[in-house]
Amino acid sequence: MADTKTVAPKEGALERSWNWLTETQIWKSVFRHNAPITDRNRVLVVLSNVFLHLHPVRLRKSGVRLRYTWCMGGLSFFLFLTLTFTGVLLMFYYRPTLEYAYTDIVGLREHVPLGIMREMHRWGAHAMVITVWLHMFRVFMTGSYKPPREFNWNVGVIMLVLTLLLSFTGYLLPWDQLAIWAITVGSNMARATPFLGYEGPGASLLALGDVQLIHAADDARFALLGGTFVGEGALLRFYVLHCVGLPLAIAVLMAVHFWRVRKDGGISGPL
Amino acid sequence: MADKKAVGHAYNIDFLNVIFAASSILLFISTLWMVWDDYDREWKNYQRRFVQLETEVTRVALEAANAEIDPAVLEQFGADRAAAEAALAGQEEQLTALEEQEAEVAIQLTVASQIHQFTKADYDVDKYALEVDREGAEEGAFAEREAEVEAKYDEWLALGLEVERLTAESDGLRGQIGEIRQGVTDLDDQIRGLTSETTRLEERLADLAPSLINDYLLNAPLIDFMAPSITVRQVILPNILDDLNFIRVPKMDRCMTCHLAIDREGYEEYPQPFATHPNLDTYVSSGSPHALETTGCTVCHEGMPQSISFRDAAHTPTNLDQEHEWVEAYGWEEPHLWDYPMLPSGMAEASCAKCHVEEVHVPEAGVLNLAYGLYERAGCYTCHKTAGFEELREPGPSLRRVGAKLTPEWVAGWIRDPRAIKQTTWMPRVWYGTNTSTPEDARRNEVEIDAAVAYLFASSSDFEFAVQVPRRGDAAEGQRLVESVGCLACHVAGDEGRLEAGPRRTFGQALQNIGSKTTYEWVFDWVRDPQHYSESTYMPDLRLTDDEAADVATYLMSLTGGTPRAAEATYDQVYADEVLLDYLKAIVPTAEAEATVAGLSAEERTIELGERVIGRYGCFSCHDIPGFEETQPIGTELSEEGTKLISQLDFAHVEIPHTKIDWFENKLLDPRIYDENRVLQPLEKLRMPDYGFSEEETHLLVTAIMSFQREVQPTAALVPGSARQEALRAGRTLTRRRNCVACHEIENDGGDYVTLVDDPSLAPPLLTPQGAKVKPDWNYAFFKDPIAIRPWLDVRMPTFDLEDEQWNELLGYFAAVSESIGPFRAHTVASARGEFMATGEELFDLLRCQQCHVLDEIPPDQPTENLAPDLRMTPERLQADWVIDWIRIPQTIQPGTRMPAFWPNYPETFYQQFDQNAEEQIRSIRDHMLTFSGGPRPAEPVVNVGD
Amino acid sequence: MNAIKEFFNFFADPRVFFLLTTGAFVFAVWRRDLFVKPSVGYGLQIFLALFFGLGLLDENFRLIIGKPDNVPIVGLIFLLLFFTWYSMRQAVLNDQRIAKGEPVEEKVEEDRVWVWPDLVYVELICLVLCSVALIVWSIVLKAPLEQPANAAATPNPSKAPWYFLGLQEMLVYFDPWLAGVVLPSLIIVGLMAIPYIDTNPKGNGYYTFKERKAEITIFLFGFVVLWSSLIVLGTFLRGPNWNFFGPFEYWDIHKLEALTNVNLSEYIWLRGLGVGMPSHWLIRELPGILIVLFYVFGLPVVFARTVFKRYYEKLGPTRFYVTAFLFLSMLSLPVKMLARWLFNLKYVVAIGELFFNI
Repeated sequence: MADTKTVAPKEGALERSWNWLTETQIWKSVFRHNAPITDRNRVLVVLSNVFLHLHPVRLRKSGVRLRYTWCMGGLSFFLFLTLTFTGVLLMFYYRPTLEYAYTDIVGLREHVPLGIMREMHRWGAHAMVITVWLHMFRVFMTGSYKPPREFNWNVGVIMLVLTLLLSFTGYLLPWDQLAIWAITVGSNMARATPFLGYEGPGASLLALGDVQLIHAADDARFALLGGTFVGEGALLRFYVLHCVGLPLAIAVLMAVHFWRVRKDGGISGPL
Repeated sequence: MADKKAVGHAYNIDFLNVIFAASSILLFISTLWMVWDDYDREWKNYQRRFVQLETEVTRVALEAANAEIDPAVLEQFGADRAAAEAALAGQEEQLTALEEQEAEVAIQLTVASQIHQFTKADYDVDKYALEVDREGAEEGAFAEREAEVEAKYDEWLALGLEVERLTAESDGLRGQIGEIRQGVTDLDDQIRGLTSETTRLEERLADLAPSLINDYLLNAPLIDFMAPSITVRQVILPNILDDLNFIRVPKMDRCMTCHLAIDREGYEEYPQPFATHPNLDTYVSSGSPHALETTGCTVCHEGMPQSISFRDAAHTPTNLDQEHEWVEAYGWEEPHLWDYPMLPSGMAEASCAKCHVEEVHVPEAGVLNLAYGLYERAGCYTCHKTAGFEELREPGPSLRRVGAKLTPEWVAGWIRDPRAIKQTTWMPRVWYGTNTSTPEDARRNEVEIDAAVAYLFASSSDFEFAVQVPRRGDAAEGQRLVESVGCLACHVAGDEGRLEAGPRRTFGQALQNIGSKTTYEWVFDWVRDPQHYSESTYMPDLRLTDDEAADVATYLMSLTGGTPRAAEATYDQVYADEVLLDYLKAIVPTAEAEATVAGLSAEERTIELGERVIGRYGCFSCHDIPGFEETQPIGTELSEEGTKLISQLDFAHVEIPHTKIDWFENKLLDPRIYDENRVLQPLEKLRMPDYGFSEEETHLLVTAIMSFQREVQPTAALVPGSARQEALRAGRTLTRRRNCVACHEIENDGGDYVTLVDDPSLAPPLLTPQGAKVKPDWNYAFFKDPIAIRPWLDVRMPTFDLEDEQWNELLGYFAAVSESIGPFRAHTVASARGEFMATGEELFDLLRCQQCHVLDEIPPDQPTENLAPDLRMTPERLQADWVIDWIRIPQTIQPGTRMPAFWPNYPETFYQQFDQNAEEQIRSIRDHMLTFSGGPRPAEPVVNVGD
Repeated sequence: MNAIKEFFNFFADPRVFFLLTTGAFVFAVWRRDLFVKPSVGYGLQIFLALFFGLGLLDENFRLIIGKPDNVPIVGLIFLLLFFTWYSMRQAVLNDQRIAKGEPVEEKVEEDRVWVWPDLVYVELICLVLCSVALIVWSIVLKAPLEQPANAAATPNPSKAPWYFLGLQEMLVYFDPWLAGVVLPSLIIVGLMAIPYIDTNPKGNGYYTFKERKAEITIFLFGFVVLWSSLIVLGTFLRGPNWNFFGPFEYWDIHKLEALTNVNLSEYIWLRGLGVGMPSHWLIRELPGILIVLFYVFGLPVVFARTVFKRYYEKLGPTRFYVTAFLFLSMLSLPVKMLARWLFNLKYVVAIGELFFNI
C-alpha cells in the first residue's frame, strides 16, 4: 500500500496542554510509562507499580472469571482496608475507659460529624467474616489447597481465626449490655480449657504440692480478660488487641498470603 | 520457544465500562446520601427552626420596645440636639485650636512616659545587680555604685514629675473641650438611654439574620465539622454523678441542644422543645437554687443524659393521647434500651429525694410532700421497710383490749370490707381480693376471717372503763363541740373522699358510723381520756370536762349506719381444720401437722388458725396485737425500689405496657393482679391487701416509690447541712408526724383546718413568725399547760404527750424558721425614764388598744373576730423586739390580720409625741406594755429530771 | 395465617430442623443433577426472600429478624445457599464434560489474558459495588446500642457474637471444655490438616464433584450443615433460658421445658441393673469410658478393615487414622444430638469430681 503520509491531526489547545503536561519532568517521574493501551505498556505499568504488582502481568482467563474466584479474597482484603480506615477515624473519638466508652459511642451515633463510620465499621466487620468464610469455601471447592498451595491454605486458616478474634475483641468496645454479655459468654468457654482453665478437666493436676497453679485468678480466662470478670482490664486489653495487636498480625500474614499466591502459581487452574 | 499464543482479553471492555459507569454513579449517589444523612439530623433541624423562632420573638420584642417610646419625646430630643449642634458652630475655631493643642500635648506625654519607664527598667537592673554583687562584701566596698543607683532613682523621680505635669495639662484641655460639647453629649446620653433597649434588640436581630458565611457556608454539609453555628450544647456537672454501673461519673447533660430556650424568659407559650422551664426562679435560671450549670436536667427528669435524639433520650409521655401524638410525630416507642427513662412530667418531683435525702417535707415540692403524706397514712412503711420512714407509729388502733370496744360480729363485718362501712378509712381489705374471690375462695376467706376474729378476742385482755355507767349528754351540744373544738382537724366525720380530705385530716380514724361500731361507755371513756384505753395513741387530750365528754360521746353515738358486707359462705369447722392443716403443712411435715391438729380442741384450732392467718397477712404491722411484738414485716423492702431494674419486676401473664411505672400503678390499683391466670396453691398466692386507691392516689404513691433511689449523689450535691438546716428538718418531720400542720400553717404549708373555720382569725394561729414572736421558755410552759390566750375561741390547743426533747426540737424549729437566734435570748427591761413611760401610756390610751385587746376583762361591744389577746401577758409571753416590728407594720408579719396599721407609711406618723419620731413612739408604747402584769400564765413547768 | 406460622414453628424445632437439613443435604448430594438446576437454585433464593419478606409482617418474627445484628446472618443464609448451589452446579457441569471426555471449562479457558485491564477492572467494579452496599446498609440500619454494660443485670438470653453461636449451641449437648475448647481447636486443626490428608491429585484448580466425592461431602456437611445451620438455629430459634422458640413464637421468659436428662451411668446402674451407683468414679463410669475409648480408637481400626479399606490403602496408616479421628470427632456432635433426643442422654462419661464430662 502506498505509504500515505499520515498528517498529525491539528492538535487542539487541550491536546497541546495535555501533551505538554505529560512531558514535564514531574509527570514523567511519577508515571514512568505511558497509558497501558499498548501490550508493552500493560506489562511495564504492572511491573513498576507496587500495588499493581500484587497481580502478575498476565494470568489464566479462567482466573479472571468471577464465576471461578467469586472475588471473595479481593472483597475480604478490601473490607479489611475499609475497616482499617474507618477504625482509625473511630479511634479519634473513642476512649476505652469504663467512664467514657459508652458515652463516646452515643456521641458517635448522634452528633459526631460522619458518625456513620461506626455503622460502616460494624457492618464491614460482619461482612468481612462472611466473605472470609465464602473465600475458604471457594478455595476448598476448587481444590486450590492441593500441593503446592498447602502452606498458603494454612496461612489462610490462621487469618480466618484472626478475623474472628478481631471481630470478637471489637464486639466488646461499645461497652453496652450486648457487648459485655457476649464477651462474658465467649470468655466463659476459656474457663473450661483442659488443664489451663480453672474449671477445665485436669486443672487440679497442675499443682506444686498443695499450691494450685491454675485457679480463678490465674488461668486461660484470666489471661484473656485481664481479670476474673469482664471489667476495665478486659476493655483495655481488648482495645489494644483490636487496634494494634491483631491487625498487625493479620497484615503480616496477608503479605505472606499474597506472596504465596503468586509464588505457588497464581490463581489455581487445571494442569 | 513455542510460539507464544497472543494474550487476549477475557471481557468486552465496553460492557465493563457500562457496568463501571453505573456502579460509580451508584457510589456517588450513596456517598451523597451518606453526607445528607449526616447533615439532616433531628437536633440540627431543631436548632435551625429555633433561629427563626428567636428572630420572630426578638422582632416582636422590638416592636413592643418601639411602641413604648413616645415619638414626640424622641423627636423633641432630636430637635434639641440639632439646636445644640448649631450653637456649637459658633465656637468652631476655638474648639479646633484646643483640639490641636491637646493632640500635641498627648504626643509629648507618650514620649515622656516612655522614657520614664525605660529609666525605671535601667534602675531596677542596676539595683538588682548591685544587691547581688555586694552580697557578703563588707561595708562601703560598692559606695560609688550605690551612689550611681541613687542618682538613677532621683532621675527617675524627676521624669515622673514631668509625666504628671503633662497629664494634668492634657486633662485640663480635654475638660475644656468636653464643656463646650457638653450640650450635645448630654442629649446623646438621653437619647441613648431612651432607645437603649431598641438598639440592643436591633443588634440582636442583625446577628440573627442568616449571613452567607456562618449560616450557609460554615453549616454546609461536610464542612460543618469545622466551626458550625449549629453545635451540641452540653453542661458537665462535677458535683452531680451518674451511677454508670458502680462507676460514678460526673453527669453530662445535652438536653439544651434541642431545648434551646429552657432558661430564657419569653418563650413560655411556644411549642416544645422550645418552651421555657416552668417557675424559673426555683429551677434552671442561674440565680435559682437549681441552676442549670450546677444541677443540669436529668438528675431530676432522668432519661439518657448524653443523648440528643428524641427517642434514645427515653422521653416518657405524661398521658395516652400525648403518646399517640409522639408516635406519629417522632416515631416514638417505649424506651426499652435505657434503664431509667424519663419520669412523666408530673412525677419529676420524685427526684427531689436524691438530694433532699429522707426529708418528710421538701419546700415547694407539693406533689412529693402529698405523696409522702399518703405513703404514711396508708402505712406502707409498716409492711415495707423504707429508709426515712423507720420508727413511726403503728397507724392502726391497738387491739390489745378490743374485747372492751367491739363485738366479734362487727369486727368480722369490718375486716370483710372496711370501706363498705367507712368510705374514708385507710384500713385495706385483705380478703376477697381479685385472686381470692371464687366461691371456693369465699369458704376459705370466711374461715380465715372467723379464725382471726377468734384469736383477737381470745387474746384481748380485759379492761374496765374509768366511769362504769357514764351519764348521757346532749347530742346537739356534742355536735357543736365536735365541730368547733378542733376534732375535725384530724378526724373526718362525714363521708368525704380520702384524697379530698387529704392525709392531714385523715390522721385520726374516720368517725363516720361510729355509733353502730362501739358502745357509748367506750366512746365516753375514750373521749374523756384516750390514753386510758391505749397508752401509745397519738390522740391528744382536749381537756374535755366529763359533761362535755358525755355530750360529744352522745353525739358520736348518733352517727350510725354502714351495712357491712355479707359473708359469702357459711363457716364450717371441718373445712376450717383443713385450712389449718394447710397452714401447718407449710412449716412442718404432714404427719406432725395432723398430730397437732388432732390434739387441739375445736376452739383451740380456730385460735391457732387465727394466729397463722394474722401472721400471714401481716395485720400485726399496723395494729398492736398481743403475741406479735417481734414478728418481721411481710413486705419487700422499698428503700431502693426506684432504682430497681425492670427485669427485677415480674409481669407474669398480665398484658400491660412494659415499664416500671405501669407495673407499680397496676400493682397499687389491684395488688393481686400478677396472680392473674396462674395456677397457685392458696398459700402461694399474693397477699398484699387492697386499699381501693383512686387513680390520683396511685399516681402520687408511685411518685413516692420512684423517689426511693439508691444513694448516688455525693455530699457536695446534697442540701448543705447546717444547724439551722438540721433544726428545720427535725421540726418539719415532727410537725408532720404529730400532725400539728393539720391545724397550724407554718412555712406556708398546712393549716387544713383553717379552711373549715368560717373566719380565719378564729382559726388556729399562723406559726411561721412564732420563733421571733414568743419567748421560748413561755412557749415551753404553754406546751406543757396550754392556757386560753383568746378565751372567746372555740378551737382548743390540746395537751400533747411529747417528751421535752421533742418540745425543744419544736422550739428550735420555730427559731430556725424565723431565724431568731434561739431559746436563750434575754432582753434588758426598758429604761424606766419618767416622761418617756408616761408618753407611752398616753399614746397607748390615744390608740385605744383596749378597744380590742383584753386588758383585764373582755371588751363587751366588739364582735368576737375583732377581739385580741390579753396584753398583760406581753412581758412574759412576747419577745420585746418582735412587739416593735408587730406594732410598726403587722401586715408584713401576719398577712390578713385584723390588727390595724397605725403607721401605714412608716416613718411618717400622725401623732405629735417625740416631735413625730415614729420609732420612739412605738418604743414607748412597747415599754409601757412591758410594765403590765397579772395576765393568765401557764403553770410553772415541772422540770422532770427523768427517772 | 396462624396455621402457617405453627407449621414453620413445628419445622423449626431443633430435632426436625437438624434432621431436615441433613436430609436435604444428603438428597442434594445424591441427586445433585436435580439440585443444580437453575430453577432449584433461584427458586430457593426466591422462596427464602418470600419467607423473610412475609415473615416480617409477624411481630415476633420482626423482633428477632429486625435486630440489627441479625441482618448479617440472614445475608449469610442467602449467600451460603447460593454459593453452595452455584459451586455444585459448576462441579456437575465439569463432571459431565469429564464424562464426555471433553476438557473441563477451566481447561478450555487456559490461555492467558492481560491483568490490565481485565482483572483490575473487574476487581474495581466489585469493590465499588461492595462500598455501595456497605454505605447503604450503614445508612439504613443503625448499629445496635443497648443499656450501658451492667455486670449485675444478666440479660436472658445472653448470646455470644453471632459467628460463635454454633459453639454456644453445642454447649447444649457437650460440656464447655469439649464444646468450647476441644472441638473448636479440632475444627481449626482439621482445616489445617486437609491439604496434608487429602492425597487425591485430581480436582486441583477446577470445580468437580465426582473426582472428589468424599472430600466435598465431608466439608459441606461440616461447614454448611453443622457450622452454619447451628448458627442460624442459635440466633433465631434460641430464646430466654436457651429454650427453643419457633420463629413466630413470643419469647416468653416463663416458658418451661422439661430438661430432665439422664447420665449413661445412671441408665446402666440404676435403671439397667437396679443397683446403687458405685462410689468411686472409675467403676461408676467404666461403661461410658469404654464406649468412648472404642469410639475413638476402636472404630478407626474397624473402618480401616471394613468399610473404608480402599481409603486405608490409598492414604496409608497415619493419614487414614488422622482423618478417621477428625471425622469421628466431627460426627460426635450429631451422635450426641441423636442420643440426647432419643434417650435424653446427658453425659456418656460423667466425672464431676474432675470436671471431666463427655
